[in-house]
Amino acid sequence: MHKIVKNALLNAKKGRWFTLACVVVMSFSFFLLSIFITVGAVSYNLLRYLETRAQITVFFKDSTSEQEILLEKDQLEKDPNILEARYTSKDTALQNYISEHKDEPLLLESLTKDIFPASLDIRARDLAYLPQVEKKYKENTLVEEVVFYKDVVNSFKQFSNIIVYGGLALVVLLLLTSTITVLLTIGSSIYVKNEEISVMRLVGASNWYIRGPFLLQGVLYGTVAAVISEVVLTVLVSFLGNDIAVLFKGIDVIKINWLYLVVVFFIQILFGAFLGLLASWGALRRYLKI
Amino acid sequence: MILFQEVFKKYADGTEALRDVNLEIKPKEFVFVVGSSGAGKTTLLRLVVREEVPTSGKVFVDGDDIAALKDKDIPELRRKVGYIFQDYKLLAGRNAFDNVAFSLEVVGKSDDEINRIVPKYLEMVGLLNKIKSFPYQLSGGERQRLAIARALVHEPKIILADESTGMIDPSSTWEIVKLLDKVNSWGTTVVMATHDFNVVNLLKKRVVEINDGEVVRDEKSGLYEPRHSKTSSLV
Repeated sequence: MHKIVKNALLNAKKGRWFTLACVVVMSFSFFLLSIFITVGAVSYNLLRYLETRAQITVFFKDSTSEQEILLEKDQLEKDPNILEARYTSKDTALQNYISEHKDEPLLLESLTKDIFPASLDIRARDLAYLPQVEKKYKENTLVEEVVFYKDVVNSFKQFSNIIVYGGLALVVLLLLTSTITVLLTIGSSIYVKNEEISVMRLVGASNWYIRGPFLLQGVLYGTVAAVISEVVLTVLVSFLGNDIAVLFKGIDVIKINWLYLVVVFFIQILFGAFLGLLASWGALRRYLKI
Repeated sequence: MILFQEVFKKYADGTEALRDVNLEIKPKEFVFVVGSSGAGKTTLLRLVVREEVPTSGKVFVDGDDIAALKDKDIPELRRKVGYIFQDYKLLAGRNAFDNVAFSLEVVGKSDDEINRIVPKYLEMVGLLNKIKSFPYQLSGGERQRLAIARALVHEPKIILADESTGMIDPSSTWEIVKLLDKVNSWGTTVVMATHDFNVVNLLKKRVVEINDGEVVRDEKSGLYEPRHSKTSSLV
């Protein structure tokens, strides 16, 4: 066995430039794969977050009294399909605005509660019930405007799909390039050792003895590339993790922890080794006749 | 030991290399296979190590039908057969010791075994003093003796020599032939394809002549003296 490992390392060393090309292309592919998986996870968490926020906000006309609004709230709370109906009075809306923009005095000049409508934030137990709620309040004469967050969520969903699926398409293309690079590298190793291989066959070397080093060579490329990609990812997350969290203003979108990185690390190594093995196997079928 | 039964071999390009070959080589025999270039001698030898399979007919080596062997069993067959080439097929980047050791390495022998066995065979072929020499530092005859040492380390039952004296001078040729004769005297079957009529005539061993893929002569203690016009033109 140690001869097979030794020969695999020798093959990689002899074709050092090919080895470098393979490792760089594979590392880049794996790194991008990790990035897009992470973007996918962040998008998913953000969507979950958005879906748990107020799903419909009903803004009432200025002429609508607080009593009328509270009556609507009571009716909603009696409805078993409604999870929550939260009332925001004109005063509260003003206070919220002031606290959100306390560092921007220009925005707060000559503000009165009259410009803020009173509202009800409504959440349903099942998202499918929301269109009925929306319809009901759109027809209500007390209501100024109904904002249905489904549109916001859908827009975000579409946007994140474009990023994730576009990214994955790019990754698939890169993985294909990686596979072809490994295939050609192993092919060139086989070509260089053609004479040795023909002697090996005639002196009775087992098929595994001949094939093993080439298979292992591909596994080695994939594994090294996965390790490099994972190290770069870990360093990036360590340095940028907090900045990313700040970007989302405290929304818990990025749940990356060390366990996550360890799991991704092992999955990537297995995936890298498998991809290398697959490419080597293809090269052996294509270039090595025993 | 080796048995050809109604063997035909036709290559993909349509060339008929062997036609209806029936031949039996018994254990411990020394057989010369003679014939002009392209007569089918090399194909005959390649069939024995399952480098080729017959188009029809059967080839048995040590009781095994070579066409019926599974891929995993082919290396075992090749360890029973030592193959010596006209162009030596030595590894240029390895010295004499490593070239012979290579044969043992690939079958999983330990370093201790290799260190014990290799010098013994290099001594046998008279190359112990060249143990660290690379092939380019050896003469043609020495290279061929090194190739013989490599073929012998598995203690094969059969030695196939394909034009193994074709690229060396007469005195080296004679050394090679004496060496093969000695190996034969230990009980190894030797099949030697050659054009060298001096060698064949001096040893007076069994001679099988092939012409256009057919066995045209098989004499127990023969001379080169070809019956076929193409072979006779070589004498």
